Amino acid sequence: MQELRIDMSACVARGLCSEVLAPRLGRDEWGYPWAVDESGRGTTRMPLVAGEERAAREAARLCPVRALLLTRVTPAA
Amino acid sequence: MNRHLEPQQARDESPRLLAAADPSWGAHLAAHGELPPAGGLEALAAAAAAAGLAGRGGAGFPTARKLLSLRGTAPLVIANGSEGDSFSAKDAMLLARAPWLVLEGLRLLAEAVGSRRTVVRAPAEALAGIRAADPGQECSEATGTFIEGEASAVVAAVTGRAALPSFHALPLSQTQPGRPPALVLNVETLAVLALAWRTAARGAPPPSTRLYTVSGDGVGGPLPDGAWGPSALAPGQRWVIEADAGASAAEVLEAAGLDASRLAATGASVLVGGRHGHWLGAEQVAGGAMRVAGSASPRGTGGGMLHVVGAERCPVDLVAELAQVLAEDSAGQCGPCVFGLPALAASVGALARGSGGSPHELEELCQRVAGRGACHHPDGAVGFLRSSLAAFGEEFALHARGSCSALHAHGDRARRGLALTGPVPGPAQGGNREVA
Repeated sequence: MQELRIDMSACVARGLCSEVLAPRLGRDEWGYPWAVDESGRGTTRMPLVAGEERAAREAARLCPVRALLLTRVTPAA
Repeated sequence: MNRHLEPQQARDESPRLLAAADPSWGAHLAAHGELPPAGGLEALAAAAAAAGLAGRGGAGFPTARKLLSLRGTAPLVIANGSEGDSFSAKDAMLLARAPWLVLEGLRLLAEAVGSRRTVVRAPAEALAGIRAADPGQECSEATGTFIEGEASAVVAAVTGRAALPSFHALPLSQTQPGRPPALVLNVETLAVLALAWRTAARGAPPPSTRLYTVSGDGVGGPLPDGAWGPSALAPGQRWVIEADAGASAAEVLEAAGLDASRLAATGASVLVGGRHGHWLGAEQVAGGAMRVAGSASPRGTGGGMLHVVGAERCPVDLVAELAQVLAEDSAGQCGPCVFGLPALAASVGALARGSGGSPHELEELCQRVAGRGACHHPDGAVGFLRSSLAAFGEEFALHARGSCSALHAHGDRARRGLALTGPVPGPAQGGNREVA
């Protein structure tokens, strides 16, 4: 499974990622990407569901500060 | 001003961290004996596991698992004594009193993983003992900010970058572009490792103590001779106690010379774990059921910090002060932390002054901040605030109505704009405080 990881320390809230990945990826009141985990809590790791990979790749490419990283998730050891 | 209480007589043979009479090599040898030769990583991890050792810096990660994750790498090994939380003084005490144990732990580890570089990072004054013991040991001076003690910030500082936490997709022990693999262990964790290596070689009971820092606010008063004693905690005074690693909060307080049941009867609460900590109410402290360490605790001890808060101190006011400190602690990198923590501080601050805000609004803000930083500072801040809401719910609700419990803050009500004629709760409404 793949996930999109947000480097919040690099993010400058330009918002391109949330446009590409709307409505799955929202923005908070300060403009930063708002991803949620399975229980609805805020997170910096957004697991991708089937069909989302292309949009995620596009979001990572568009980010002006390269704050998005696509990683393959290995099940916890 | 920090003081140290001599540990009570050990009931068993397990070794103590502060057993040496002074920081000299002779006193160290007399107390602990020679260190057996270093061995492999597996043997060292087994010794750590036998002692049930988990990181003493606050996160409490099992040390054996951390060590075994290093197989095949030769990382930079760092002893972390940054101790940026002002509720803690135990790392500085350990570095001053037992520098040899820390150095031995560092060397055992470096040999086990084949590391060529070790660094001790701590504030300059805390490094004096290490520098006197081994002038050849590489040291790195911390400046005392809260956030620079975070592991990735420590690695950054030691490798010539700004001492700030960083986003790392891979664990610090693995190579990432621009960063060598690194292992960061708290100085107390390393000292316990040096003891555990000895007991493992002797087949003796493993070390079973840990260091605690006890401080207080609004607790007791000066002793008759005018000095502050262990029966009274002066503001700003911190006591370092060595006690059983599985002690209850009450047992640690008793070891510090405080009467836990009397404190509980007067409605004192205890903040466990410093700025990222959680609260134990008076009843939990007196009951002794709530252990501050070990499996019986839902949250662990953090870095072994116990801050006793007397009933005369308004908890909402104290929480507001700490929320402001937590906002200022931010490294200023991640948006949700940069904007969220000041918003949280403003919300609690308004509640404390009786000028608006609500516990509900506070919890909503917490939800928008938690889990969204490159490091765990926002999570720690939110954990503290949520625990505060749970522990002092009635007092928060009272403040949301523009009032404050009758038992504290009489003197500064006017300053804080609180209603002087607001509802004055009886003991039932006011929570677990005893009306004097």
